[in-house]
Amino acid sequence: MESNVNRDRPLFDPPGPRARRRIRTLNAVSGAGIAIVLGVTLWAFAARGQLAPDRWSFLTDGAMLQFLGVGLVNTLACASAAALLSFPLGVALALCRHSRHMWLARPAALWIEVFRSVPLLLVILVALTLGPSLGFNPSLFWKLVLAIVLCVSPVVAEVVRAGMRAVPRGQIEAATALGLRPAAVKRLLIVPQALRMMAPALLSQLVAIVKDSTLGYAVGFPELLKQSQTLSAFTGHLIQVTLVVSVMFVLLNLALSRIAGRVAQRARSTAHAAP
Amino acid sequence: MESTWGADLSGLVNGLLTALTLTVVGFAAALVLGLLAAACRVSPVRPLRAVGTLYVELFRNIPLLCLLVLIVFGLPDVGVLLPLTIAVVSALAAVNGAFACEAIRSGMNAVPAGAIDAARSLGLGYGATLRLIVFPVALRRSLQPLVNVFISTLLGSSLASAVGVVDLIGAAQIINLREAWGLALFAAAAGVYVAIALGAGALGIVLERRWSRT
Repeated sequence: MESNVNRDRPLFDPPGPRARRRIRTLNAVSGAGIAIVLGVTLWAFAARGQLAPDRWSFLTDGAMLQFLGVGLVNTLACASAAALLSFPLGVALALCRHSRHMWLARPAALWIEVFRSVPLLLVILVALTLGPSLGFNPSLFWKLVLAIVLCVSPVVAEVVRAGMRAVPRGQIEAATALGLRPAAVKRLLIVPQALRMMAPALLSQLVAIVKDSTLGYAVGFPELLKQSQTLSAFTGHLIQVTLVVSVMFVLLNLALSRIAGRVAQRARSTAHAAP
Repeated sequence: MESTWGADLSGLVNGLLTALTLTVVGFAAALVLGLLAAACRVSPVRPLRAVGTLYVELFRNIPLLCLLVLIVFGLPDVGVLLPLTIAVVSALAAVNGAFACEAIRSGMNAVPAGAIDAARSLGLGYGATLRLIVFPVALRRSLQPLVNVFISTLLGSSLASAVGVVDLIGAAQIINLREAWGLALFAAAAGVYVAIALGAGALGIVLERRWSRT
């Protein structure tokens, strides 16, 4: 069923002469409004001397760029470690919650519901302040990664479970009728389809993980945001450094979202091509 | 002993109230921003569409903490001095508004094309069609995603303690430094967050049931 407001297609008829005039006026007015906002922003920056070239000179300073580069590498390392751990764990949690055995399903459900709604910062603080006294004392990097895994894997689990529930019932019955045991049905039928169906949603969790890694800032792990804070304390040009780092984060996440979109498109087209 | 308990608990309660205020005000503002951005993104005016798209792409992808640092520590450098809570609320609203916009826009897909055609043939203009026909249905359809936006606002509000607001986590940290209650304290704070999130989820289900009946 086609809907009028699908995607970016605007919800209006082809405009007549009067509407066209009005749209032209609104175009001009909103364009002017945007220009004014941009102008005022630039003016506010310029009036405080924030646009002075020497305030942006860290962009051409090799050592400072390298310093930020270390942060970027740490962010990427932290995010990939967290992703590599939380995806398998999420699938395992989803399988447990989906299981017929209550002693497996109940605790998994509780675990998922709790850690889905606990703030990551709280988990990190617990790992940091209480971890050592409980005999849990890996490096700061691993504390951060494990805290992220703890908070992201339940989200992954729920995404996967939604995919598992979307597998048509008839397929499962057919597989059971063929004599496959429940474990085989899951391994051969449900999980592969769920993962394929949910690939875009799972990939978009990567963006969430990258964002979560910025919490290293709050606990002193030298990821990109923390490095930018150190650099801006050193140069005294906080707004410039933070703006540049924000742009880096946005570009990184946009690239990840773009990949997710690509995968979603491919998933749709293969789904249609399948007999 | 009595008095320290009382003092500590009042600190925690104040922290909880701060966290709740940040969440509720931030979510309300995010909802307004989301509706505005959604209206922009489907409007026939091209600059507004561009602004809507830019807003969503930017704020969906910037880490909240990054934005908080920019607003709380950066804006004073260009002459904008905001009170700390306002700064945190605006960061929360900006980020979650982008997600709310996408939730509402996907809800718009559920509005039957015929309903929109009917509205237009009755002579309703763009604004009236959106306000009277599209948004009510879209909001109802996007209830569950909006509950998720609320929960992410709640979890995001905890970052306020990273820029110096004494919210629930901040209060717990302060008390822990003094009393070293450790795990019990943090577990209690976590329990409060879980309870609020579960409550919001339950409220969402109740509202959904009530609205789908009418």
